[in-house]
Amino acid sequence: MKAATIPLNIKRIKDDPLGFITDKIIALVVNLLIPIPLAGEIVTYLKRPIMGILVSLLIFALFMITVVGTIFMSPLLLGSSVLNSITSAFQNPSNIAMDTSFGDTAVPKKSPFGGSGMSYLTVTAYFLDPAYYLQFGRNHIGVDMVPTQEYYKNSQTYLDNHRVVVFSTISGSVNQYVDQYGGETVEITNGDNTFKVLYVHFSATLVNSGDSIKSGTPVGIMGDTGFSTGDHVHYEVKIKDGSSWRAVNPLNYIQ
Amino acid sequence: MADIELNPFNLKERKLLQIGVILILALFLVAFFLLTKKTPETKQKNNTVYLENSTLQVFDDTYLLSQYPDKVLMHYPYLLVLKPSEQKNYIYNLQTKTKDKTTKDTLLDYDGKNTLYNQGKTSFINSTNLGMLCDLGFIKSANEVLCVTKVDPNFSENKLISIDVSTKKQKEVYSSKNLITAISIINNMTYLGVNDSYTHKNYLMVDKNQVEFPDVANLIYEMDSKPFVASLKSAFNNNTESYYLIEDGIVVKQEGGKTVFFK
Repeated sequence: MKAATIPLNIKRIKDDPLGFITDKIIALVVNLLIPIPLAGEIVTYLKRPIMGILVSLLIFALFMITVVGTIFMSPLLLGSSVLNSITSAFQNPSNIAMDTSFGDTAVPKKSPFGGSGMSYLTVTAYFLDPAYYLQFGRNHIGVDMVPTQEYYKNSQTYLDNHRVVVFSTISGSVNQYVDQYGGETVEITNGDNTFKVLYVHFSATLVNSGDSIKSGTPVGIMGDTGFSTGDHVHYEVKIKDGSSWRAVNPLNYIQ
Repeated sequence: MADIELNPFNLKERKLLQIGVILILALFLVAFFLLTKKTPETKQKNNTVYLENSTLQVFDDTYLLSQYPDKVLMHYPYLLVLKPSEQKNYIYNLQTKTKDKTTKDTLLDYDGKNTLYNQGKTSFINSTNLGMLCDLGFIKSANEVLCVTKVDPNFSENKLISIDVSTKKQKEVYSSKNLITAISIINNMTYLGVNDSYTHKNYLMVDKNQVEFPDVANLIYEMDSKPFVASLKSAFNNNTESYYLIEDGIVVKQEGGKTVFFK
């Protein structure tokens, strides 16, 4: 039996490095496949220094990740919306700024989500939708709406608060209540008593009954309370018709 | 340091061993490849489309349609499953038994080439604004759309109009003081489902002929080249589901617990 010693044959490495490495790999594989005492001896011999080096490398890597991560990620985290979204959950919703672009109007002209025209809203159920009537036996006298992707990208209110804030489309007095199905509702009637707007399904209302507000005032956060199958805003516009109120198509009042 | 003994192989034995190791590695790689290879997609288990207790089964896909405003439409061979609240609408081809498209737009109809949908205040066919809002619609051809719209935008009564897509010219096809609940063209005949606003009685308009219908006509569709009408759960039918075959002006109720759309 031929014997070799450690340190390894330097001449062989110099003359035929590839053959040497191949031989070593093969010897190792063979030793693993056909166990002989030598394999166990190598592992036992090198176990402690290898494990020591590996553990040291691991500790060093963890240290570097922590230090470098803290240095480089802090500005990114502060600049991103991640922290804002976490902290906004604890903010008082009453701090949400009003949208001055609504002006001071007694007649609705804008979308309850703000923005220009219909750009911030997608209608999920239209005014007097026949399907609603057939399913529930009563008319759908408003429109159901959810925000568009454009809203989530561009609405300053959303970017600041990370909530879908709904604004009053007219100036007037507030009536806030929970409807017969448990829906958080806000109703605003203008000063002339000629127009009334109504919003349902809020997760939180931001105004109280008796408040006198201007158009553009945040009135609630979009939710799915009451007779609802998902987050959306049910928006109604009513006009005075004699002594009663008549629902009209709210989309006709979004310019 | 202890001596390390190498295996006592000569050149020939070593070569043999090298081949052996290569073979073992090759075997391992083949086994690894075979084990990790994705199992081929299983064959479609269900070849039918039906509705049962508000659950729509479209081949192997299941949708819950109990939540308003979810709905199902058909322009054979295309089946449209609408989930507007999720802003997801699915188009299936019943002939190829595949899901062809998923779209965000609230669809009114799809004929394989053209898409009729609502966006904002009006309805569109492809990118052409029709200038009015349709409650329901049917693409008759690339140049003609049937649109169910309101007689007065502030009241629920409907009328059916035909719109020339290129000129936007409108022609009134059918008008009533009632609610049009469904529309389809099958075998060149126009079918309308109508609900009387005052008596709540239902009837079908087959071209210009009125056919009494015992239930709410939610969906008029084609199956085996014949017209069928599905009645979904409604406040007007004690929340029951059923479907009917329309044959020579006679309404034939189909038995079985399921409303079959494709078999």
